[in-house]
Amino acid sequence: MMTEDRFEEVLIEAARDYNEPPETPRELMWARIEATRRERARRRQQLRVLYSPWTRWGMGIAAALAIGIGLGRLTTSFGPEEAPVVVTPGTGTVPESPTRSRLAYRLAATEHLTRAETFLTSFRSGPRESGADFMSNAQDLLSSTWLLLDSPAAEDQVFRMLLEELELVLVQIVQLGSYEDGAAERGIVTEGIERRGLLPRLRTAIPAGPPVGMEGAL
Amino acid sequence: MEERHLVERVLDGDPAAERRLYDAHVDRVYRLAYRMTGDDELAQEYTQETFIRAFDRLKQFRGDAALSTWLHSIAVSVVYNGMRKVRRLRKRQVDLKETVGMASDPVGADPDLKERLAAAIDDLPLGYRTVFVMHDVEGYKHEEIAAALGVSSGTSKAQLSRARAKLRKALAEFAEEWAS
Repeated sequence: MMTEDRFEEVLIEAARDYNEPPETPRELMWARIEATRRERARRRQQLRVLYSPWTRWGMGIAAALAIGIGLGRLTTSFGPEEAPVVVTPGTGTVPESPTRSRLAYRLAATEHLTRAETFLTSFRSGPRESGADFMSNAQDLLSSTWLLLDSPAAEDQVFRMLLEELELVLVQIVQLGSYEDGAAERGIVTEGIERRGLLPRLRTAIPAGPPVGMEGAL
Repeated sequence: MEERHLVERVLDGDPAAERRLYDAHVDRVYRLAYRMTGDDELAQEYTQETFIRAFDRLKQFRGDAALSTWLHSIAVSVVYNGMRKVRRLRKRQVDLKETVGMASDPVGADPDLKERLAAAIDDLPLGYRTVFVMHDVEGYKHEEIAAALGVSSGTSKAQLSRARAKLRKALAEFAEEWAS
């Protein structure tokens, strides 16, 4: 009978050949990284110019997230100094009121973070949640997270980081459904949520406060 | 050049510093992406996305941990996310193959040990596989793995132990051959 030490020794030796990487294609990847960054910067600039009425984005996201008008929780950490930069080109386009467009975006972001916080709380404290509905919720939240990550909203660095960490956790949760013994993976996901302080950070980003004139947002 | 100074230069918009940062870390990131995917195209894609995100987020790097640790947490996120999409696509492809009776694996073939090991590693749950690949294949320390995955070193060790146990079980029939 093989001892554990011997097994590990042989295992590590044999595993060295597992997906053995070729030489790193440094130059090729660097060229693509530079090109992609230039392209994304150009697109971001276009978004600033063409999408200056943020309301379109905010309302689009809001629709996708099925926001209830009576949510009544319209407070985020975005101060006036963090308002999106609106470049007004000489095209005769008149940007919408920044207050109104900010409001629509806040509504979408707040709703998304609220759903995420509820979902993760349920995941962490609930029993072995892995039913189809639960996984479907995780997938929906993941899609919404991508939507927000691709939106101009993600230019806010703090918000972007929160979304990216949320993305990682949601991806891990969605993956749980792919394994027969997915429950064994729950521990690492739950610990990740706790160590990243994701729930408190989500709660901080969605403070319950007085409704802020959202009647005019939609 | 000291890491913090390099980061400062990148944040100041120095293209040479960006390249230097990339050169210092690209091998490890690419190797990890390749080990996890087994696919050069995907590994390149994930490596590129890792550095793009890193440059975008570098202001967020507080310097509490090593830059490589921070970079690897981004890489793991990118790889996890990318592989979720790939698994879905591959599952559809496998389903299609099964439907039309074109399964490529020869029936009754007896794979050799390394093929069996590779298949067993592929079948590990993603968390186990990540820890196993990082530690036993690429030689990361548990502290680095823990930081990249956002867990404790103890959890990383426990995951590795479970991964090895699963592999041992999957490869039980080869035990005598391995021991000899």
